Amino acid sequence: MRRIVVVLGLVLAPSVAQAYPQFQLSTGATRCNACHYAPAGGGLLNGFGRGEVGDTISMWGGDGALLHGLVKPPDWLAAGAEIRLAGAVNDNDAAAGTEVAAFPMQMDLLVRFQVGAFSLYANGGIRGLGREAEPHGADDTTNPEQTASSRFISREHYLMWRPQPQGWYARAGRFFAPYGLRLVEHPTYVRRWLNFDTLQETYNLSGGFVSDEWELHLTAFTPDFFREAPGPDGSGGAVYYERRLGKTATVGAQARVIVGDVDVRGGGGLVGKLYLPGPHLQLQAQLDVVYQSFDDFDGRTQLVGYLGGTWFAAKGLMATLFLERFDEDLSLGQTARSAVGAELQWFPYAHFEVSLWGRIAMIGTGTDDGPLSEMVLLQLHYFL
Amino acid sequence: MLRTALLAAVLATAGCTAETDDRPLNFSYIHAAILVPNCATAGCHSSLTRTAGIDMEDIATARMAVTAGAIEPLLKGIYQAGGSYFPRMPPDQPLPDADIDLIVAWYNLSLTDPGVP
Repeated sequence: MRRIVVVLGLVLAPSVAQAYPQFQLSTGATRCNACHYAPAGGGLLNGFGRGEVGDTISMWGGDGALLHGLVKPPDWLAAGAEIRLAGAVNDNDAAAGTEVAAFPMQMDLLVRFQVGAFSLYANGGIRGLGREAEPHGADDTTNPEQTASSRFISREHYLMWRPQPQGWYARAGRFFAPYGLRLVEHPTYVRRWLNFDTLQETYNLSGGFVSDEWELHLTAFTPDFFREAPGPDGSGGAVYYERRLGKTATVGAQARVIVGDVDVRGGGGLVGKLYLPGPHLQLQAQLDVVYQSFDDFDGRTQLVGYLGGTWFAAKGLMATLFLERFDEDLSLGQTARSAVGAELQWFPYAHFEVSLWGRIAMIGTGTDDGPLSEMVLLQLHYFL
Repeated sequence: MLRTALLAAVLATAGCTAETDDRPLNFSYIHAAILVPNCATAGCHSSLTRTAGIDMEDIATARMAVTAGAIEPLLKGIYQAGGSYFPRMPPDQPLPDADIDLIVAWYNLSLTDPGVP
Protein backbone atom coordinates (compact mmCIF):
# COMPACT_ATOMS: atom_id res chain seq x y z
CA MET A 1 0.00 0.00 0.00
CA ARG A 2 2.84 2.39 0.80
CA ARG A 3 4.20 2.01 -2.73
CA ILE A 4 0.77 2.75 -4.17
CA VAL A 5 0.36 5.86 -2.05
CA VAL A 6 3.74 7.21 -3.11
CA VAL A 7 3.19 6.51 -6.81
CA LEU A 8 -0.16 8.29 -6.90
CA GLY A 9 1.28 11.20 -4.97
CA LEU A 10 3.99 11.51 -7.57
CA VAL A 11 1.60 11.55 -10.48
CA LEU A 12 -0.57 14.25 -8.97
CA ALA A 13 2.19 16.21 -7.35
CA PRO A 14 1.91 19.91 -7.10
CA SER A 15 0.42 22.24 -9.57
CA VAL A 16 1.18 25.89 -9.88
CA ALA A 17 -1.48 28.36 -8.91
CA GLN A 18 -3.61 28.99 -11.96
CA ALA A 19 -6.56 31.15 -12.74
CA TYR A 20 -10.12 29.90 -12.84
CA PRO A 21 -11.21 30.72 -16.38
CA GLN A 22 -14.81 30.11 -15.34
CA PHE A 23 -14.69 33.49 -13.60
CA GLN A 24 -13.66 35.44 -16.68
CA LEU A 25 -17.19 36.18 -17.86
CA SER A 26 -19.41 34.96 -15.05
CA THR A 27 -18.15 37.57 -12.57
CA GLY A 28 -18.54 40.42 -15.05
CA ALA A 29 -14.82 40.65 -15.76
CA THR A 30 -13.91 40.27 -19.41
CA ARG A 31 -10.14 40.25 -18.90
CA CYS A 32 -8.22 37.69 -16.82
CA ASN A 33 -5.84 40.43 -15.78
CA ALA A 34 -8.68 42.35 -14.20
CA CYS A 35 -8.02 40.11 -11.17
CA HIS A 36 -4.45 38.89 -11.77
CA TYR A 37 -1.16 40.73 -12.14
CA ALA A 38 -0.13 38.43 -14.98
CA PRO A 39 -1.30 39.77 -18.35
CA ALA A 40 -3.00 36.49 -19.29
CA GLY A 41 -4.17 35.59 -15.78
CA GLY A 42 -2.98 33.05 -13.27
CA GLY A 43 -0.79 33.45 -10.24
CA LEU A 44 -0.96 36.26 -7.73
CA LEU A 45 -4.20 38.22 -7.43
CA ASN A 46 -4.15 42.00 -7.64
CA GLY A 47 -6.08 44.27 -5.30
CA PHE A 48 -9.28 44.10 -7.34
CA GLY A 49 -9.03 40.31 -7.54
CA ARG A 50 -8.57 40.00 -3.79
CA GLY A 51 -11.59 42.20 -3.31
CA GLU A 52 -13.65 40.00 -5.60
CA VAL A 53 -12.68 36.94 -3.57
CA GLY A 54 -14.62 38.25 -0.61
CA ASP A 55 -17.33 40.22 -2.38
CA THR A 56 -18.23 37.96 -5.33
CA ILE A 57 -16.58 34.55 -5.09
CA SER A 58 -16.96 33.30 -1.53
CA MET A 59 -20.21 32.02 -0.08
CA TRP A 60 -19.93 33.75 3.28
CA GLY A 61 -17.74 36.66 2.20
CA GLY A 62 -14.66 37.57 4.16
CA ASP A 63 -11.65 39.72 3.36
CA GLY A 64 -9.60 38.46 0.42
CA ALA A 65 -6.69 40.79 1.14
CA LEU A 66 -3.29 39.57 2.28
CA LEU A 67 -3.57 37.95 5.72
CA HIS A 68 -7.32 38.62 5.64
CA GLY A 69 -6.61 42.34 5.70
CA LEU A 70 -4.59 42.30 8.92
CA VAL A 71 -1.67 44.05 7.24
CA LYS A 72 -1.52 46.30 4.23
CA PRO A 73 1.69 46.00 2.22
CA PRO A 74 3.11 49.10 0.49
CA ASP A 75 1.96 49.72 -3.06
CA TRP A 76 5.24 48.46 -4.51
CA LEU A 77 4.90 45.06 -2.86
CA ALA A 78 2.41 42.23 -3.31
CA ALA A 79 2.74 38.83 -1.71
CA GLY A 80 0.85 35.65 -1.06
CA ALA A 81 1.06 31.94 -0.45
CA GLU A 82 -0.71 28.89 -1.82
CA ILE A 83 -1.29 25.66 0.06
CA ARG A 84 -3.10 22.66 -1.35
CA LEU A 85 -3.67 19.35 0.38
CA ALA A 86 -5.05 16.50 -1.65
CA GLY A 87 -6.59 13.09 -1.36
CA ALA A 88 -6.93 10.86 -4.39
CA VAL A 89 -8.52 7.59 -5.40
CA ASN A 90 -7.37 5.99 -8.63
CA ASP A 91 -8.53 2.83 -10.39
CA ASN A 92 -7.11 1.91 -13.78
CA ASP A 93 -7.98 -1.78 -14.12
CA ALA A 94 -4.71 -2.86 -12.51
CA ALA A 95 -4.42 -6.06 -10.51
CA ALA A 96 -3.18 -3.93 -7.60
CA GLY A 97 -6.70 -2.61 -7.29
CA THR A 98 -7.77 0.85 -6.27
CA GLU A 99 -5.03 3.25 -5.22
CA VAL A 100 -5.59 5.69 -2.38
CA ALA A 101 -3.34 8.60 -1.46
CA ALA A 102 -3.22 11.73 0.66
CA PHE A 103 -0.42 14.22 0.14
CA PRO A 104 0.55 17.89 0.15
CA MET A 105 -0.01 19.09 -3.39
CA GLN A 106 1.29 22.64 -3.34
CA MET A 107 3.16 24.91 -0.97
CA ASP A 108 4.28 28.08 -2.71
CA LEU A 109 5.20 31.60 -1.73
CA LEU A 110 4.49 34.37 -4.25
CA VAL A 111 5.96 37.84 -4.31
CA ARG A 112 5.88 40.80 -6.69
CA PHE A 113 7.83 44.04 -6.60
CA GLN A 114 6.86 47.01 -8.72
CA VAL A 115 8.77 50.16 -9.63
CA GLY A 116 6.96 52.36 -12.08
CA ALA A 117 6.07 50.36 -15.20
CA PHE A 118 8.41 47.52 -14.24
CA SER A 119 7.66 44.59 -11.98
CA LEU A 120 9.47 41.49 -10.84
CA TYR A 121 7.40 38.45 -9.98
CA ALA A 122 8.45 35.11 -8.55
CA ASN A 123 6.95 32.13 -6.84
CA GLY A 124 8.75 29.31 -5.17
CA GLY A 125 7.90 26.23 -3.23
CA ILE A 126 8.52 22.63 -2.39
CA ARG A 127 8.25 20.16 -5.24
CA GLY A 128 6.02 17.89 -3.24
CA LEU A 129 5.77 14.69 -1.31
CA GLY A 130 7.75 11.63 -2.19
CA ARG A 131 9.57 13.01 -5.19
CA GLU A 132 12.48 10.75 -4.51
CA ALA A 133 15.01 11.68 -7.16
CA GLU A 134 17.20 8.63 -6.98
CA PRO A 135 20.74 8.62 -8.38
CA HIS A 136 21.32 6.54 -11.47
CA GLY A 137 24.02 4.64 -9.69
CA ALA A 138 26.48 4.74 -6.85
CA ASP A 139 28.81 6.95 -8.90
CA ASP A 140 26.12 9.48 -9.68
CA THR A 141 26.98 11.86 -6.86
CA THR A 142 27.58 14.99 -8.89
CA ASN A 143 24.21 15.32 -10.52
CA PRO A 144 22.86 18.65 -9.30
CA GLU A 145 19.32 17.36 -9.53
CA GLN A 146 20.02 14.99 -6.68
CA THR A 147 20.87 17.70 -4.19
CA ALA A 148 18.51 18.73 -1.45
CA SER A 149 18.03 22.15 -3.02
CA SER A 150 16.38 20.54 -6.04
CA ARG A 151 13.32 20.01 -3.87
CA PHE A 152 12.73 23.75 -4.01
CA ILE A 153 11.63 25.12 -7.32
CA SER A 154 10.32 28.34 -8.76
CA ARG A 155 7.77 27.57 -11.43
CA GLU A 156 7.33 31.19 -12.39
CA HIS A 157 9.66 34.17 -12.24
CA TYR A 158 9.69 37.01 -14.67
CA LEU A 159 10.43 40.66 -15.24
CA MET A 160 7.62 42.62 -16.83
CA TRP A 161 7.19 46.03 -18.38
CA ARG A 162 3.59 47.17 -18.41
CA PRO A 163 2.67 50.82 -18.04
CA GLN A 164 -1.02 50.05 -17.53
CA PRO A 165 -3.16 46.91 -17.07
CA GLN A 166 -4.64 47.66 -20.50
CA GLY A 167 -2.27 48.23 -23.37
CA TRP A 168 1.07 46.88 -24.46
CA TYR A 169 3.30 44.79 -22.25
CA ALA A 170 6.49 42.74 -22.45
CA ARG A 171 7.92 40.19 -20.07
CA ALA A 172 10.83 37.80 -19.85
CA GLY A 173 11.26 34.81 -17.61
CA ARG A 174 9.70 31.50 -16.75
CA PHE A 175 5.96 30.97 -17.11
CA PHE A 176 3.48 29.18 -19.34
CA ALA A 177 3.04 30.84 -22.71
CA PRO A 178 -0.55 32.16 -22.91
CA TYR A 179 -2.36 29.48 -24.90
CA GLY A 180 -5.87 28.04 -24.88
CA LEU A 181 -8.22 27.90 -21.92
CA ARG A 182 -5.48 27.66 -19.26
CA LEU A 183 -7.57 25.45 -16.95
CA VAL A 184 -6.52 25.06 -13.35
CA GLU A 185 -6.37 21.24 -13.28
CA HIS A 186 -3.13 20.06 -14.85
CA PRO A 187 -4.35 16.51 -15.69
CA THR A 188 -6.85 18.05 -18.10
CA TYR A 189 -6.07 16.75 -21.58
CA VAL A 190 -5.61 20.19 -23.11
CA ARG A 191 -2.88 20.78 -20.55
CA ARG A 192 -1.51 17.25 -20.16
CA TRP A 193 -1.06 16.57 -23.88
CA LEU A 194 -0.13 20.07 -25.04
CA ASN A 195 2.92 20.45 -22.77
CA PHE A 196 1.22 22.54 -20.11
CA ASP A 197 1.53 19.90 -17.40
CA THR A 198 3.22 20.32 -14.02
CA LEU A 199 6.66 21.96 -14.15
CA GLN A 200 6.53 22.33 -17.92
CA GLU A 201 6.81 26.11 -17.78
CA THR A 202 9.32 27.38 -20.33
CA TYR A 203 11.64 30.35 -20.43
CA ASN A 204 10.10 33.00 -22.60
CA LEU A 205 10.35 36.35 -24.24
CA SER A 206 6.78 37.47 -24.53
CA GLY A 207 4.75 40.49 -25.33
CA GLY A 208 1.32 41.55 -26.32
CA PHE A 209 -1.66 43.79 -25.94
CA VAL A 210 -4.60 43.50 -23.55
CA SER A 211 -7.81 45.50 -23.63
CA ASP A 212 -11.44 45.03 -22.73
CA GLU A 213 -12.21 44.16 -26.36
CA TRP A 214 -9.37 41.85 -27.29
CA GLU A 215 -5.97 40.56 -26.30
CA LEU A 216 -2.96 39.23 -28.14
CA HIS A 217 0.03 37.38 -26.73
CA LEU A 218 3.18 36.47 -28.66
CA THR A 219 5.75 34.22 -27.03
CA ALA A 220 9.13 32.82 -27.99
CA PHE A 221 10.13 29.98 -25.67
CA THR A 222 12.87 27.54 -24.87
CA PRO A 223 12.95 24.72 -22.30
CA ASP A 224 14.18 25.26 -18.77
CA PHE A 225 17.95 25.50 -19.19
CA PHE A 226 18.75 25.61 -15.46
CA ARG A 227 17.33 22.22 -14.65
CA GLU A 228 16.29 19.12 -16.53
CA ALA A 229 12.67 20.09 -16.07
CA PRO A 230 10.21 18.31 -18.34
CA GLY A 231 8.42 20.24 -20.98
CA PRO A 232 8.46 20.84 -24.68
CA ASP A 233 11.61 19.16 -25.90
CA GLY A 234 12.48 22.07 -28.11
CA SER A 235 12.20 25.77 -28.64
CA GLY A 236 9.58 27.64 -30.58
CA GLY A 237 6.90 30.23 -30.62
CA ALA A 238 3.26 30.59 -29.66
CA VAL A 239 0.54 33.08 -30.39
CA TYR A 240 -2.83 33.48 -28.70
CA TYR A 241 -5.55 35.91 -29.72
CA GLU A 242 -8.85 36.39 -27.96
CA ARG A 243 -11.76 38.59 -28.96
CA ARG A 244 -14.58 39.49 -26.61
CA LEU A 245 -18.11 39.39 -28.04
CA GLY A 246 -19.87 41.72 -25.66
CA LYS A 247 -19.56 40.84 -21.99
CA THR A 248 -20.77 37.26 -22.16
CA ALA A 249 -18.78 35.56 -24.90
CA THR A 250 -15.25 35.23 -26.18
CA VAL A 251 -13.64 33.49 -29.10
CA GLY A 252 -9.95 32.79 -29.40
CA ALA A 253 -7.39 31.17 -31.61
CA GLN A 254 -3.92 29.88 -30.93
CA ALA A 255 -1.00 28.44 -32.80
CA ARG A 256 2.38 27.07 -31.78
CA VAL A 257 5.52 25.55 -33.26
CA ILE A 258 8.06 23.53 -31.28
CA VAL A 259 11.32 22.55 -32.94
CA GLY A 260 12.97 19.70 -31.07
CA ASP A 261 16.01 17.51 -31.53
CA VAL A 262 14.12 14.67 -33.19
CA ASP A 263 10.79 16.19 -34.13
CA VAL A 264 8.89 19.32 -35.04
CA ARG A 265 5.40 19.97 -33.71
CA GLY A 266 3.15 22.52 -35.28
CA GLY A 267 -0.47 23.11 -34.50
CA GLY A 268 -3.20 25.36 -33.42
CA GLY A 269 -6.75 25.53 -32.30
CA LEU A 270 -9.77 27.45 -31.22
CA VAL A 271 -11.20 28.50 -27.89
CA GLY A 272 -14.67 29.68 -27.02
CA LYS A 273 -16.50 30.79 -23.90
CA LEU A 274 -20.14 31.65 -23.47
CA TYR A 275 -21.85 32.78 -20.28
CA LEU A 276 -25.61 32.43 -20.00
CA PRO A 277 -26.76 34.78 -17.21
CA GLY A 278 -30.23 33.25 -16.92
CA PRO A 279 -29.27 29.75 -15.87
CA HIS A 280 -25.91 30.96 -14.47
CA LEU A 281 -24.11 28.64 -16.84
CA GLN A 282 -20.76 29.11 -18.53
CA LEU A 283 -19.69 26.94 -21.45
CA GLN A 284 -16.02 26.59 -22.39
CA ALA A 285 -14.39 24.69 -25.20
CA GLN A 286 -10.97 24.19 -26.72
CA LEU A 287 -9.96 22.14 -29.72
CA ASP A 288 -6.39 21.78 -30.91
CA VAL A 289 -4.82 19.86 -33.78
CA VAL A 290 -1.09 19.14 -33.72
CA TYR A 291 1.04 17.69 -36.49
CA GLN A 292 4.24 16.07 -35.25
CA SER A 293 6.88 15.31 -37.85
CA PHE A 294 9.83 13.12 -36.98
CA ASP A 295 13.26 13.39 -38.55
CA ASP A 296 13.40 9.72 -39.50
CA PHE A 297 9.79 8.53 -39.54
CA ASP A 298 6.38 9.42 -40.86
CA GLY A 299 4.60 12.08 -38.91
CA ARG A 300 1.29 11.90 -37.09
CA THR A 301 -1.63 14.19 -36.47
CA GLN A 302 -3.07 14.56 -32.98
CA LEU A 303 -6.28 16.06 -31.69
CA VAL A 304 -6.95 17.38 -28.19
CA GLY A 305 -10.31 18.69 -27.09
CA TYR A 306 -12.22 19.92 -24.08
CA LEU A 307 -15.87 20.84 -23.68
CA GLY A 308 -17.14 21.91 -20.29
CA GLY A 309 -20.11 23.56 -18.71
CA THR A 310 -20.01 25.24 -15.31
CA TRP A 311 -23.17 25.93 -13.36
CA PHE A 312 -22.93 28.56 -10.66
CA ALA A 313 -25.42 26.98 -8.30
CA ALA A 314 -25.05 29.62 -5.59
CA LYS A 315 -22.56 32.21 -4.50
CA GLY A 316 -19.39 30.28 -3.71
CA LEU A 317 -20.55 27.02 -5.25
CA MET A 318 -19.98 25.88 -8.83
CA ALA A 319 -20.31 22.54 -10.56
CA THR A 320 -18.65 21.61 -13.85
CA LEU A 321 -19.28 18.75 -16.23
CA PHE A 322 -16.76 18.15 -18.99
CA LEU A 323 -15.87 15.91 -21.91
CA GLU A 324 -12.32 15.37 -23.10
CA ARG A 325 -10.71 13.74 -26.08
CA PHE A 326 -7.11 13.03 -27.00
CA ASP A 327 -6.27 11.31 -30.26
CA GLU A 328 -2.65 10.26 -30.12
CA ASP A 329 -2.62 9.48 -33.84
CA LEU A 330 -5.67 10.30 -35.92
CA SER A 331 -4.65 7.83 -38.59
CA LEU A 332 -4.56 4.88 -36.21
CA GLY A 333 -7.48 3.34 -34.34
CA GLN A 334 -7.50 2.33 -30.69
CA THR A 335 -5.03 4.98 -29.61
CA ALA A 336 -7.44 7.67 -28.45
CA ARG A 337 -8.53 8.57 -24.98
CA SER A 338 -12.03 9.79 -24.23
CA ALA A 339 -13.15 11.03 -20.87
CA VAL A 340 -16.08 12.43 -18.99
CA GLY A 341 -15.65 14.22 -15.70
CA ALA A 342 -17.11 16.52 -13.10
CA GLU A 343 -15.83 19.01 -10.60
CA LEU A 344 -17.51 20.58 -7.62
CA GLN A 345 -15.85 23.69 -6.18
CA TRP A 346 -16.91 25.31 -2.96
CA PHE A 347 -15.52 28.64 -1.79
CA PRO A 348 -16.98 28.89 1.72
CA TYR A 349 -15.04 31.92 2.94
CA ALA A 350 -12.39 34.20 1.50
CA HIS A 351 -9.07 32.35 1.00
CA PHE A 352 -10.61 28.88 1.33
CA GLU A 353 -11.63 26.37 -1.35
CA VAL A 354 -12.74 22.76 -1.35
CA SER A 355 -12.62 21.00 -4.71
CA LEU A 356 -13.82 17.55 -5.68
CA TRP A 357 -12.70 16.52 -9.16
CA GLY A 358 -13.38 13.21 -10.87
CA ARG A 359 -12.83 11.73 -14.30
CA ILE A 360 -13.59 8.48 -16.07
CA ALA A 361 -11.37 7.91 -19.09
CA MET A 362 -11.67 5.23 -21.71
CA ILE A 363 -8.20 4.31 -22.90
CA GLY A 364 -7.77 3.19 -26.47
CA THR A 365 -11.17 4.07 -27.79
CA GLY A 366 -11.98 2.01 -30.83
CA THR A 367 -13.66 -1.14 -31.90
CA ASP A 368 -11.94 -3.04 -29.11
CA ASP A 369 -12.44 -0.95 -26.03
CA GLY A 370 -9.48 -0.41 -23.80
CA PRO A 371 -9.54 -0.22 -20.01
CA LEU A 372 -11.32 2.42 -18.01
CA SER A 373 -9.21 4.71 -15.88
CA GLU A 374 -11.06 6.39 -13.03
CA MET A 375 -9.75 9.04 -10.69
CA VAL A 376 -11.26 11.17 -7.94
CA LEU A 377 -9.30 14.01 -6.39
CA LEU A 378 -10.25 16.01 -3.31
CA GLN A 379 -8.34 19.24 -2.71
CA LEU A 380 -8.30 21.57 0.26
CA HIS A 381 -6.93 24.90 -0.90
CA TYR A 382 -5.94 27.92 1.15
CA PHE A 383 -4.24 31.03 -0.13
CA LEU A 384 -2.82 33.80 1.99
CA MET B 1 -23.45 0.86 -20.20
CA LEU B 2 -20.81 3.35 -19.16
CA ARG B 3 -18.58 2.39 -22.06
CA THR B 4 -21.52 2.78 -24.42
CA ALA B 5 -22.29 6.22 -23.03
CA LEU B 6 -18.67 7.28 -23.35
CA LEU B 7 -18.51 5.99 -26.87
CA ALA B 8 -21.65 7.86 -27.80
CA ALA B 9 -20.24 11.04 -26.30
CA VAL B 10 -17.14 10.93 -28.45
CA LEU B 11 -18.58 9.69 -31.71
CA ALA B 12 -18.61 13.22 -33.00
CA THR B 13 -14.86 13.37 -32.82
CA ALA B 14 -14.17 9.83 -33.95
CA GLY B 15 -12.84 9.66 -37.45
CA CYS B 16 -12.08 6.95 -39.92
CA THR B 17 -8.89 5.38 -38.71
CA ALA B 18 -6.77 2.42 -39.64
CA GLU B 19 -6.92 -0.62 -37.40
CA THR B 20 -3.58 -1.96 -38.63
CA ASP B 21 -0.61 -0.53 -36.81
CA ASP B 22 2.12 0.20 -39.33
CA ARG B 23 4.16 2.45 -37.07
CA PRO B 24 7.93 1.83 -37.13
CA LEU B 25 9.25 -0.90 -34.87
CA ASN B 26 12.11 1.33 -33.86
CA PHE B 27 13.06 2.45 -30.36
CA SER B 28 13.83 6.01 -31.40
CA TYR B 29 10.24 6.33 -32.58
CA ILE B 30 8.78 4.56 -29.55
CA HIS B 31 10.78 6.80 -27.24
CA ALA B 32 9.77 10.07 -28.90
CA ALA B 33 6.17 9.18 -29.70
CA ILE B 34 5.11 7.14 -26.67
CA LEU B 35 7.56 6.99 -23.77
CA VAL B 36 8.49 10.66 -23.40
CA PRO B 37 4.98 12.13 -23.48
CA ASN B 38 3.50 9.38 -21.31
CA CYS B 39 6.23 8.48 -18.84
CA ALA B 40 8.68 11.39 -18.57
CA THR B 41 6.34 13.66 -16.64
CA ALA B 42 7.40 15.96 -13.82
CA GLY B 43 6.24 13.71 -11.04
CA CYS B 44 7.38 10.43 -12.53
CA HIS B 45 10.21 9.35 -14.82
CA SER B 46 11.49 12.70 -16.07
CA SER B 47 15.20 13.37 -15.84
CA LEU B 48 14.39 15.79 -13.05
CA THR B 49 12.59 13.32 -10.80
CA ARG B 50 13.68 9.82 -11.88
CA THR B 51 11.20 7.95 -9.75
CA ALA B 52 12.62 4.58 -8.75
CA GLY B 53 15.83 5.63 -10.48
CA ILE B 54 14.22 5.35 -13.90
CA ASP B 55 14.79 8.15 -16.40
CA MET B 56 12.53 7.76 -19.44
CA GLU B 57 13.43 11.16 -20.85
CA ASP B 58 16.92 10.05 -21.80
CA ILE B 59 16.77 7.55 -24.67
CA ALA B 60 19.66 5.40 -23.43
CA THR B 61 18.27 4.93 -19.93
CA ALA B 62 14.77 4.49 -21.32
CA ARG B 63 16.05 1.66 -23.51
CA MET B 64 17.68 0.07 -20.49
CA ALA B 65 14.42 0.30 -18.56
CA VAL B 66 12.35 -1.26 -21.33
CA THR B 67 14.81 -4.08 -21.94
CA ALA B 68 15.13 -4.82 -18.23
CA GLY B 69 12.12 -7.09 -18.61
CA ALA B 70 8.60 -7.15 -17.20
CA ILE B 71 7.63 -4.23 -19.39
CA GLU B 72 4.39 -5.84 -20.56
CA PRO B 73 3.16 -6.78 -17.05
CA LEU B 74 4.03 -3.28 -15.82
CA LEU B 75 2.13 -1.58 -18.61
CA LYS B 76 -0.85 -3.90 -18.17
CA GLY B 77 -0.88 -3.65 -14.38
CA ILE B 78 -0.22 -7.30 -13.70
CA TYR B 79 3.40 -7.12 -12.54
CA GLN B 80 3.93 -8.74 -9.17
CA ALA B 81 7.01 -8.70 -6.95
CA GLY B 82 7.53 -9.32 -3.28
CA GLY B 83 4.03 -10.62 -2.89
CA SER B 84 2.26 -7.49 -4.11
CA TYR B 85 1.22 -6.03 -7.44
CA PHE B 86 2.78 -2.91 -8.88
CA PRO B 87 0.51 -0.11 -10.09
CA ARG B 88 -0.31 -0.08 -13.77
CA MET B 89 2.02 2.29 -15.63
CA PRO B 90 1.44 5.14 -16.17
CA PRO B 91 -0.90 5.30 -13.18
CA ASP B 92 -2.90 8.37 -14.25
CA GLN B 93 -3.35 7.58 -17.93
CA PRO B 94 -2.55 3.97 -18.87
CA LEU B 95 -1.27 3.33 -22.36
CA PRO B 96 -3.68 2.21 -25.06
CA ASP B 97 -3.29 -1.46 -25.95
CA ALA B 98 -1.95 -0.50 -29.38
CA ASP B 99 0.97 1.34 -27.76
CA ILE B 100 1.66 -1.51 -25.36
CA ASP B 101 1.63 -3.97 -28.26
CA LEU B 102 4.14 -1.85 -30.19
CA ILE B 103 6.50 -1.62 -27.21
CA VAL B 104 6.21 -5.34 -26.47
CA ALA B 105 6.80 -6.20 -30.13
CA TRP B 106 9.99 -4.15 -30.10
CA TYR B 107 11.03 -5.73 -26.78
CA ASN B 108 10.53 -9.22 -28.18
CA LEU B 109 12.61 -8.25 -31.19
CA SER B 110 15.37 -6.99 -28.90
CA LEU B 111 15.53 -10.38 -27.19
CA THR B 112 16.69 -11.99 -30.41
CA ASP B 113 18.63 -8.98 -31.67
CA PRO B 114 19.95 -6.83 -28.80
CA GLY B 115 21.29 -4.31 -31.31
CA VAL B 116 17.94 -3.63 -32.92
CA PRO B 117 17.50 0.14 -33.47
